[in-house]
Amino acid sequence: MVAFLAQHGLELIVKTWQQIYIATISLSLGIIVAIPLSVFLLKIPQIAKIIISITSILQTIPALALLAMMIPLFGVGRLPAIIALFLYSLMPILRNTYVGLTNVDTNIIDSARGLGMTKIQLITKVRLPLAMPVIMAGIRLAAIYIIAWATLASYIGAGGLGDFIFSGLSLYQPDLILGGTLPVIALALLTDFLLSLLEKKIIPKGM
Amino acid sequence: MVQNIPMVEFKNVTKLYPKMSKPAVDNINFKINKGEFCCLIGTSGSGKTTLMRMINQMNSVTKGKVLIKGKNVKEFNPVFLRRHIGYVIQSNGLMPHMTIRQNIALVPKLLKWPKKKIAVAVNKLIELAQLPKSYLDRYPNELSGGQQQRVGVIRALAANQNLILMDEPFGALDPITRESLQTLVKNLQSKLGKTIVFVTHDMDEALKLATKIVVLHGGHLIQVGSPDEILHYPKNKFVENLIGEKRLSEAKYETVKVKNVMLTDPVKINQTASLTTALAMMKEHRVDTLLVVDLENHFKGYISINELQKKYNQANKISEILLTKIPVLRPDEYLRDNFSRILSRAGQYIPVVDDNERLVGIVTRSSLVNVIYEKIWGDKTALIKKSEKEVK
Repeated sequence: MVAFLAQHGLELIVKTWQQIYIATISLSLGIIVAIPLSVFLLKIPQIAKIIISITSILQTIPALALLAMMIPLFGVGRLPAIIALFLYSLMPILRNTYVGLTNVDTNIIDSARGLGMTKIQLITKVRLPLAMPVIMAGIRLAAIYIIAWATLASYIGAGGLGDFIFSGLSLYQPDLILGGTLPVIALALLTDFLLSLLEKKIIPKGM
Repeated sequence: MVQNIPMVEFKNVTKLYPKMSKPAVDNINFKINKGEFCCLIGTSGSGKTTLMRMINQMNSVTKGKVLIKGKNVKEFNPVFLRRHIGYVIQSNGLMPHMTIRQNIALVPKLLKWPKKKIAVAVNKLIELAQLPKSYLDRYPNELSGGQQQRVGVIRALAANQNLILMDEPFGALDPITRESLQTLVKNLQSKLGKTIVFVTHDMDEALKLATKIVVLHGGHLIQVGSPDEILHYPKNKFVENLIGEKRLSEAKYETVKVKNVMLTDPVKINQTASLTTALAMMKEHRVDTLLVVDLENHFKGYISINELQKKYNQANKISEILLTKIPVLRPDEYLRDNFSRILSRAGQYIPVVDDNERLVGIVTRSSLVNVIYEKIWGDKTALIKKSEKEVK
């Protein structure tokens, strides 16, 4: 362990940062796209079902294959990796947000409408806050997926902790494999913990 | 508090839902005056909720017009309209993610009232709801169902709305809590002079709260009237069923009039008759008093055997021993209003006199006993049938 750190310490920091960078950007993109899209889909429930099925299909493509498919479109490096991981994050967030928004008690919606809320207020003041627990569950799930799968991004030259694992595999060096894997696990657990703290903050009390 | 200014008016209102052959509400016409407590009552599917929701445009009107203070609701912006009409629904109407304070302040906030004005209003309203101020910072799920609905009711008053719609607001509450909330709403309504449109399927509730009851069935308007009118003159079998047999028979006794129970051939004597005749008549009928009338049957008073015996030798005419201090009843008076008067006459009867002061009958204590007997034992015919069965 000490030997590993002495040899790869600096590298480990750089690779971990790359991992965080790729995962954060793709997850943020996923949130920025999926939540407004779900709100928009509320208006067109028939099309919503189709869109959600499409994102589910995207989810079934093996991660490695999806990353490989990015190469002819966006070349190698971080960009294709981020795009691929973004596509993966879409499904859990989109589906959870849509389900959360549509499952708000109809009595509450009716009452809010009857008291004179506009359509936008209904979304921002009623539907979104009440759907927050389900939305957050989707985001946490997506975050863990993305952090784990960002390891594969190294395959298309995006860097990250995957570099250690792939080198370890080709050089038969278990310490390199472990050196890549353990930080990924730690990162995933840490992210989940941080998101659970965030969740407590933004989920309204009284629910 | 009821004024003759129409607050809400339905004119030939019809509501058709797509893919439905029958209209949900069919050609409805009636008015709700300012300050009135109007209950819309009917079974499920009668269109009562649909009708109420047309007032604040939660449901659109297919044909006809709904007017608020003479103005068609379609001319209002729906959001504006709803912010100025209170709205209470059966349950879960409170926003679970907002504190009680935020819930009460919801509409004033939407109307962009200044913060100070909202704070004053909230503190006043929580008192009206008879809840402690400490509840303001709690969340709805920390309150009982009854307390939540108290908040629901006052929230509908928060922005000084003069018209309040309530859709079976107490349907999900236990009877005791319901009763206390009914009292709260009734008091608030009469104290603040609000106009309330109240949907219910519970006739007890409607009779207790309403000043006007609108009976609906299958989208048609069956009857409109005050609780008394509905109770005493139900228009058809459906209304009778809605009221229920028990309440109907109770109502029947409430409306027994003097003329229904009076005896129509009292022993009476003409004022010109001689005292001898009077004495003979008393003996013949075994009575100790005689009612005195003139030739046209106008009631004059009465004579008693005591007076007659005392003055038999001095007096010649009935008018000399005539006693006039006696209460009288009118044939159209309700028996229920005169129970104590009849009972206080001890063994005596009370003469019944019509509007032309003519003697038409008497009421005795036994007349009351008959009514009470009927109420306790039910219809006489039922009693006879029962005894016939026992004989068999």
